[in-house]
Amino acid sequence: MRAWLYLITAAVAGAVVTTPALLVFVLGGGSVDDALFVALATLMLVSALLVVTMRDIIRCGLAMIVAFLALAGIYVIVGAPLVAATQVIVYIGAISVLILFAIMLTQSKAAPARLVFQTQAAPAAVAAVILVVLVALAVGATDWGETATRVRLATDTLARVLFDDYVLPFEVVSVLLLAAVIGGVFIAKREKEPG
Amino acid sequence: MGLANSLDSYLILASALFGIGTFGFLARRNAISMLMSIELMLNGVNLAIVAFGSFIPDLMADGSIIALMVIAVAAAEATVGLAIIIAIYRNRQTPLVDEYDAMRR
Amino acid sequence: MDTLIPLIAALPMAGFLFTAVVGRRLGKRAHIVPVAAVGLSWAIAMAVVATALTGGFAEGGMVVRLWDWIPAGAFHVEAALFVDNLTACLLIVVTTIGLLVHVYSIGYMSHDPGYWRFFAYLNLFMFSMLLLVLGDSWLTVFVAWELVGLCSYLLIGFWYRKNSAALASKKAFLVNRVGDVGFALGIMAIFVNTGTLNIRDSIEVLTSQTLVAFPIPVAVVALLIFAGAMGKSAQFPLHVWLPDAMEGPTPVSALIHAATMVNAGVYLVARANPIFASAPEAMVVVAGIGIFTAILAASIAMTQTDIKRVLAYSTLSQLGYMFAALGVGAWTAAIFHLMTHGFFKGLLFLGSGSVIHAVHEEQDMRRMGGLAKKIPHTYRTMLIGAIAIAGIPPLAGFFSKDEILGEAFKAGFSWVWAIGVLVAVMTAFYMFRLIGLTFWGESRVDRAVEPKIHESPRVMTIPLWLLAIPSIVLGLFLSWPGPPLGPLLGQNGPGLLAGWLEPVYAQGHVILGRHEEAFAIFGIDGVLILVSIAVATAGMLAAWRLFGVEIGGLRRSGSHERVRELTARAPFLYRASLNKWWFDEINHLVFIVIGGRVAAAAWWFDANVVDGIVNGIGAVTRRSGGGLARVQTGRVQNYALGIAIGLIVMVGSYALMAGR
Repeated sequence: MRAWLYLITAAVAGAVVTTPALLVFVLGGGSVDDALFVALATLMLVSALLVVTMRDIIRCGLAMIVAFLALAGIYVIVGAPLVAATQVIVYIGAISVLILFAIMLTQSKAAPARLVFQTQAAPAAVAAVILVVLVALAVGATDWGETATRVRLATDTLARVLFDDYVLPFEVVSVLLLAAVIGGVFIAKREKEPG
Repeated sequence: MGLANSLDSYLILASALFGIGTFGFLARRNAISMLMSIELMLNGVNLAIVAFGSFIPDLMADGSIIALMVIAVAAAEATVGLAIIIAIYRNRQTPLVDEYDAMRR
Repeated sequence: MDTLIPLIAALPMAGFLFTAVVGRRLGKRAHIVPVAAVGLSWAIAMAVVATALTGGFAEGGMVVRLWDWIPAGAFHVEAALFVDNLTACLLIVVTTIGLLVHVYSIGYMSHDPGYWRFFAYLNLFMFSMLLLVLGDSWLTVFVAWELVGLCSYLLIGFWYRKNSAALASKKAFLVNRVGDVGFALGIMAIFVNTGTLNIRDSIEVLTSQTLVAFPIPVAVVALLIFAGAMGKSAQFPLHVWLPDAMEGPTPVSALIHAATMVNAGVYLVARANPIFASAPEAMVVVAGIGIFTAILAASIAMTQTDIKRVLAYSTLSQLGYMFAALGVGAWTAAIFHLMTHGFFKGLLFLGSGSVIHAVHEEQDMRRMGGLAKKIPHTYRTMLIGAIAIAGIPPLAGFFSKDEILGEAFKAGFSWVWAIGVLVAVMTAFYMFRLIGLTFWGESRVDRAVEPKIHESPRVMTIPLWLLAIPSIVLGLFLSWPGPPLGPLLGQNGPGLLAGWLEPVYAQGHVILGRHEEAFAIFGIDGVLILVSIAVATAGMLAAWRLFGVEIGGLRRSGSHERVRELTARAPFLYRASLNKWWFDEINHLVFIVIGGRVAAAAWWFDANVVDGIVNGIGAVTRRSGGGLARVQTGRVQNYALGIAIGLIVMVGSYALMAGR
């Protein structure tokens, strides 16, 4: 019984995602790129919404993984494949797993709390919406100049720039990661029982 | 339609993702949910940076490099943040932030 | 001379400081330094007086500049002393009687544990009083004025453990203060009008400028100064403190409340005579209040039973005479009476002290009597004093009192003269009542005390005789060769005192515009003299009829039945007189009861309205603070929402502005 439910949910989700894409493709007369963009964008936004609204945290985590995947796809479209790869490896492979582990370690015995949202959820929603609207307006009002096409970045160019000009930040970030690892281990260590 | 080709659409998408993350950060009770929302916000910003890097010729490599740095830092931050949350959970036995009120009057 | 004049005042100050610091340890010898200081001061003062009165000083008197006291730009006051003939006359009275009282106190206070304290206060008082008469600036006089009031407080309340004494000293100080407010306002008015606080300079400015009106009318200035004099010299309605001041030791009553401090008011008005002369309305007020006080006090004195109270009211009455004289323009007569009164009233007070000492601290005359043989020195000197004050010639009181009455009549103030004559009758009456009750007739002294009645020691009786001499001759001495005896014996010219004081009052006389009339001994003046003698004798005889007499061969016993008969015929007057016309009760009602209610209402207002507003502001602050504190939830998410809202507002407003 459950399996049917999941299949139907997946179908609905797929429909939700692809419909706008098809619309854009067919009606707007856009390219495949556009359709793909719309599909991935929709998927990402929907799963992000699910992350912040679902009651069960583990499901939130899984939705987050889906969002990251969609985002990786958008990175590819925009012309940054290395970033997309890093996104998948680091965000999905490391951070999301870490988060899921943490969720498991902090699960309370009781059922999920009765309230999902804080008392200030309504003003928060309003604020978030207004924020987005403001940024969108600002973006729309700005003239970005001659930026018609997106350029795909070659990986070797990226590598050269990274290790020529940005080698210092690169090293600093590695030190930062080392510090984070040590710190994380230290903070999360169980204290020795007295005696 | 040129959606995938216009900087504006990526930026608006990025701001939407950021907004969703903001809402989640302000509105959720579970500490780990707040952290996930923070990750969403970081990703939104990342997208904006990459979009800039891709569309503006001067920033071509810089955009991606900055995005990589952001991802690395986000990883570090998630590590430490989760470690803290686990430590607090051990102390308070609850992951809900409105019950962390030892310093309140 | 420059150093001698400040010494007059400085010596008693040094005496005070010395005695205050080491007096307690000196015990019975604590009087040596103070008495010596005053004695030396007296000697120097006599030298200065002699120089002044024989014309040794310049026309306007001698100024001794001490130092620049307040150099504050437009407000410039010098510390300086000034001696002219008026000062000299006052110096005679103050230093002589002061010295005699000091000597007398050696005997009177010999048994008192506060012996050293008494002399210290007496010296401080001498310093203050001398500073008052020597001062060259209104401010110096005011400082000395207040100091004198302080000494009065200290000395009235000398026996501070006695409740009545403490209350009396407080009453004296407070009533004095009321007058002092007027005086202070007067000084401020003088400064506003003239820009200087130097006495001579300010008087000159006040009397010369007649074209442009002063910011504060001269009459107002004069009345304010008189207000101060009213307080210090106990004129109606500020007279209530003087009778109560009898709680102090008798030497204090003699010195302060008969001979010196209460004369400060008279001195003040005399010194400011040009100001008063420029304001005839003020002078009428002065005369009116003075003569009213005189008859009020005399009426009360007729029924009092405490010997010191009778003398206190008598002082009030004679002071009233002096102010009446000042008010009608007879300034010389006022100072004349000041001097003679100082001596014979001082004598009477010291004598009463001797009587009280003899009957072992009994002050009620109903328990005295028949003391003439037992305390002869005291009796004889007091009899001299009584004759003097009654105005029987040729003793001192006759000359000064008659001059006042004569001048009043001739200046056109017949009402003052008429009331003054009435007062003279009453004065003679109550003084001989006092003598009769105290010294004549049968002894009503307490049986236990009677055998122990003794005359006072020589240190007390010698001052009495020394005071009796001026009481006899001073009148003759100061009025010769002028009226009234001069013309009778073919002499012409002003009297001695009139000659001395003529330069002091010259300006005032000019302003008043009165011209000198020749003294008509066989005309109006002679009639007035005869009237004065007649009424004084009448009063004396009336007293002899009611209270007895034992002078020489004249013997008559008093009759209590006649006294009772008379009092029965005028019960209201008797009761009013006995109760001091209920002034203390009126004061109590107005100021304490009604004033108390007003004060309570003001207190209520302050506690509830004013404090309410203040506390209300505090409460508002507290409550708003409490309300605002709810922003501090302690939750990071709430703060983050705040940040988000702030960000929206900033970006939004920037977008709006940019969009414009």
